[in-house]
Amino acid sequence: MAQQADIQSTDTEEHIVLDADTRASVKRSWASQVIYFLRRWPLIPLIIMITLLIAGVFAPQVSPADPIEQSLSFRNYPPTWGAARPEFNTVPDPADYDLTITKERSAYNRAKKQAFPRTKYVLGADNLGRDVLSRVVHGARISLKVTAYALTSGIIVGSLMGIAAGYFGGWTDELLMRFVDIFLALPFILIALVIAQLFLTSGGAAEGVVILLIALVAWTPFVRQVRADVLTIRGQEYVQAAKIAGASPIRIVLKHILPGTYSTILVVASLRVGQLILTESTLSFLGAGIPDPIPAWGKSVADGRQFIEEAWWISFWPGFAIFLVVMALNFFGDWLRDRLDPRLRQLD
Amino acid sequence: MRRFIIRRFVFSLVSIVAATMAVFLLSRAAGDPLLLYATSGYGLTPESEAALRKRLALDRPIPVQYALWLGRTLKGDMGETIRDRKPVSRVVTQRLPSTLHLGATAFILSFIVGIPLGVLSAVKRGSIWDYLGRFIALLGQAVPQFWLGLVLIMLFAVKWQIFPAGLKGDGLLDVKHLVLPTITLASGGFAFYMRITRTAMLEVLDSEYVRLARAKGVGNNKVIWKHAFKNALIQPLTGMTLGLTFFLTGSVLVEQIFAWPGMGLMAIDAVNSNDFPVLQGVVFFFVILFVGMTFITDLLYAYIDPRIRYE
Repeated sequence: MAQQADIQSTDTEEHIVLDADTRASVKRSWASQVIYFLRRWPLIPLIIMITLLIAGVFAPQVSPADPIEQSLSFRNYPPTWGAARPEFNTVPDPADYDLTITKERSAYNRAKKQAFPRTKYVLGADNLGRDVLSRVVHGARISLKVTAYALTSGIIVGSLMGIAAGYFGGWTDELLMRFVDIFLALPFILIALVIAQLFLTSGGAAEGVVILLIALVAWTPFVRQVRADVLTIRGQEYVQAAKIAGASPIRIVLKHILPGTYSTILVVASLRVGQLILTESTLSFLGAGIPDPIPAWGKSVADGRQFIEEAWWISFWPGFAIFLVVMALNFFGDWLRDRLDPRLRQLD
Repeated sequence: MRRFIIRRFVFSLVSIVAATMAVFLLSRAAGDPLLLYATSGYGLTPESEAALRKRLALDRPIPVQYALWLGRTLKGDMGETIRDRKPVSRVVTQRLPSTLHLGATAFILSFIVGIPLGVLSAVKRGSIWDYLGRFIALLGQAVPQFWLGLVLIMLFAVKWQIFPAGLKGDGLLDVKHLVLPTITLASGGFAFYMRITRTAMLEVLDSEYVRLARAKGVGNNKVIWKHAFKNALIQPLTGMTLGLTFFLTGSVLVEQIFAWPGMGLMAIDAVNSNDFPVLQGVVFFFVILFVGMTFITDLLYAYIDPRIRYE
């Protein structure tokens, strides 16, 4: 087994593009070998992504408690591995009366444990006594939902525009690309805040608005990359041949050009997901996200801000979840790009 | 070259108009601005309401209002803030230096950390340094800035009490107040510069002229810094604009977290109170900054790389 692993690792070493002298100059320590393996197979990102998916899809089943239910006696209750705090010692301590009673001391400890079980809130409770872990799990659901819708619409709109720009060229191309440029020059956060404000006041369907806002950010890189792809594919001989054979433009686009852009779209999409989750949480942090009882990550971070001195866990965990997920997605996106399309390295 | 400049310039103007128009229309759609000035029930007669409406030109169609705003803005008059009736141009320009101060410091920090790390990572490709550098860049790109800011406050302001949790000190060199916001704001930009420097450096190190230099027997340091680095630097330098959007959108967030008295903080206040003249002013300045930088970068790029000019 160990031998096999050895063979595999030497086998994979052949794959990286290094000229002989660079390869000779590279000495691998065991640490870099471990990192190298993790780089070649995105094991950790995959685990995080699968966890995210499970948390998102089965949130009501896997979360230990209701994310919205409050219990005021557990306000700012510390996590299992946090320091115990004096205000949760409401059960009278026998030691206060008589230090010699050791029997009652253990009875007291039992009582305290029953009243304030240390494992009830693994990641602590927030300022309204809601379970932070459950809120993080349910936050995954919101993030996934918003990003999935936004990304899908971004892919469709962006790719269509990219195909149009690349296939028709000329004025269409110029107009579409300038439109993208102007769009990128807009201070998006401010505009998103204004739009969100518009709908918050009229109390409309905020979830749809947030999806729309994220979709507004999602589409731009698809236009550019798909256009670049189409430009090269259009010049290929098989496309020319199809044209000469009398294929209609729709047929050419659907049968001959579109399939050639799939890997690009996949790579751009995988690199984009993380950014979208970040944008979504940023908006929700600034108060332009999904409205209140729903525990979006960014909003949970914002909620904990004022309790930062006495209960760090309220903002820490949801933010940490964003961080982990975005990092896993970016890592996976990089990996996919290197695998499928090294040409896209420029995307950096 | 001249045609290129003119085209880019026209395009910049269109961007500015588009951005301000978008905000103008949106903030008008958000509600009748007059209601912010005066709620009914405070002795506002229909006549005086009509007079006020007329004075603020709110009785004209919205496109005309926009044209009026643009015309006055170009003369330097951006109207008054709704809340306390100060001239917007003065309020905004008062806040501008703070934002530029923070942005510039963060920009310099991310540049001077990101670029050497990128070079190191490329030169020692495949080594532990490379993986470490790339890992840090990955962290920087994935970390939500608002969360990083809070964690820094938790550690350095609440727990160890080394740096203050917010506000801005006096003068340019008040380092204490500057440290945490700068690190927060620089986190994304630094990762960005590190990555593009690394990519550019790898490309250049693989080129024939670098091989030739090595074959001639030029020393390693000289190859890296003189032959490779100078050419690789073009990428991050021209990628500055992308970095700038980073710093601008970032400043809105970071100023909020650290109560840094800049334009970003003001913009958020303006959004929340629907003080549209202020919002218009801030967006105008943001877009001008951004478009101006893009314009300069395009020119730089065209100057360095002649192929662009004839595109």
